[in-house]
Amino acid sequence: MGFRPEPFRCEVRQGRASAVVEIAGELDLATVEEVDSALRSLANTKRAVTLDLRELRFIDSTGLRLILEIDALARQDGFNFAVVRGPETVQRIFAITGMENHLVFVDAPEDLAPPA
Amino acid sequence: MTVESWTFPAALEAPGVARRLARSFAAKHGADGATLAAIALCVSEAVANVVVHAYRESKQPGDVEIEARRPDGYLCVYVRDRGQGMSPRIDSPGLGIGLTVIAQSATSLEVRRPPLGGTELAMRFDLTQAAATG
Repeated sequence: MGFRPEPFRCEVRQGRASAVVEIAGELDLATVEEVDSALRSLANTKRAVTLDLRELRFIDSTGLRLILEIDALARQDGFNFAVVRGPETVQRIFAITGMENHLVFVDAPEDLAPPA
Repeated sequence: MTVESWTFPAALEAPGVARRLARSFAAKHGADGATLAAIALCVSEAVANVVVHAYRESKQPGDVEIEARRPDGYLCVYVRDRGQGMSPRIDSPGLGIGLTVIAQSATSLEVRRPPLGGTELAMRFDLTQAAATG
């Protein structure tokens, strides 16, 4: 098709009780599986998981759905889940869908404290 | 009036390809940053909808067709498939909210059933309003 996709990156940084998943590039149908696997592998092993969107350049409702599923899993299983705010174009979908007030947003990964 | 169109397989990478094509067309025709972002989001949602819904009962994915037009003051993007048409799907990726996102981001949205089958999403973006609101 002659168009090179934006480079996508998904990196996991793990501490003893917490983990940060950093994603960069564009989160859509083509890339969501990688993030899904990374987040679900941490869900039952860490007390706090943070998804860092600061380097993300695009997200659509495919990515939004994944984030909402992990948030629901966190509430059900008792681990903390937060999202580090992305750029304005990324945050827009959370505003459009009214999810800004449903999810826990932080400015930096260290803002999410593990549960007491 | 300038018209460009592209056709490619409705595969997982199709939303990314489509939004880059549409964004490039829109940038060439004077859309500002906010409108470019809205177009990218709407096209991605529309094409993802085709990938997930349109050909799910077909053995091979069909094509998605994108057409971009630039009438005075507006930029229009049409996303078409030749699949089975839109219908509810409980396990839909994207919460099934793609159309809601488009409706809130585009100036107008029409969902059409072409006579030859499939679905067409017609999305219009007001370039003059974007310039006025900055």
